[in-house]
Amino acid sequence: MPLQEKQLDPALLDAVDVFGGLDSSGKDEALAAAHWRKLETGERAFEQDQEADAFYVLSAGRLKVTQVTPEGQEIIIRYIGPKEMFGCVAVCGGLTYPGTATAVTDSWALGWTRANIGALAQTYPGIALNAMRTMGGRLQDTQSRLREMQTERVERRIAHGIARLVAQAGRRVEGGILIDFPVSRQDIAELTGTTLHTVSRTLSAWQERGVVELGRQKLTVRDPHALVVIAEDLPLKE
Amino acid sequence: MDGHLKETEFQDAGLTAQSIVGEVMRRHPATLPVFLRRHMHCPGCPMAPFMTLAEAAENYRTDLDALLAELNAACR
Repeated sequence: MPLQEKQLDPALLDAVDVFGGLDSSGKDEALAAAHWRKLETGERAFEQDQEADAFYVLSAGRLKVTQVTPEGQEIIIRYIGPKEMFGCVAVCGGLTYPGTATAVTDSWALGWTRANIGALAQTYPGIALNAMRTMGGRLQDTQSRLREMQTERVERRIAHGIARLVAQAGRRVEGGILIDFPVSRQDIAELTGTTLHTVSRTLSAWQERGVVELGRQKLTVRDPHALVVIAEDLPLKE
Repeated sequence: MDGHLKETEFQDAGLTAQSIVGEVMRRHPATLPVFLRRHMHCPGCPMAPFMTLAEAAENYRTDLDALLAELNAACR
């Protein structure tokens, strides 16, 4: 269904965090300063590293925010849905957009130029605080993801290390592959360039999942395939 | 883990449920494309010398009989 030009409905702002706490005259003022922007599927609202000259609230549709690596690979940072803000950095002023926002379906957004949102924030400091809260939340998401990726990287290294030991000194036993020489957690830490603490934590988790079994100086791979899935980051099959 | 093959289990090139994946690939390199087509990561896997075809089929949720038939056919 093609999108029609939207009426400026003050109720739209009620559900948008950035305008939370604004009285009705404040919301009217905010709407008066806004402009509509239609984004066809595939159209970009703004591009990475471009000067952040406008701030938006999505009214309808969906956007993806992406970054491009130096190798040219596109990475999706997040998706933006209705009532969510994007281009928040424009509220702060003097910054560039950290990513490119592209419509993945036909979308409508309510936009404020940097000057307009700046003037509104002067009158209603709550806007700036709300924008900061949103950006803080997104920063937390990013940090969690970073921590997950770091953890995944270490797990893969440990799985690779154990796979190497299997290739070198594995012996098929009932219910698994035994690494047929005395091997300690410290040995694995040194082999994989990580800490004893990380190795212990990782191996305990794997033991609970039935991937490995730890004895004194003894390591048995109970589920060789699961270890390879971790090491190679293979897609899981149902 | 019984490494001994029973006569009755032999078919075509003699690959059975209990054949060791690493051995199969080493002796019959023509089988490699069969694993790859089935999105099985056996080629180059450090676990391959320890696992049977039955275990590999189970791990990759693939039909053992169909796998054996294809592998034996690839050896011809």
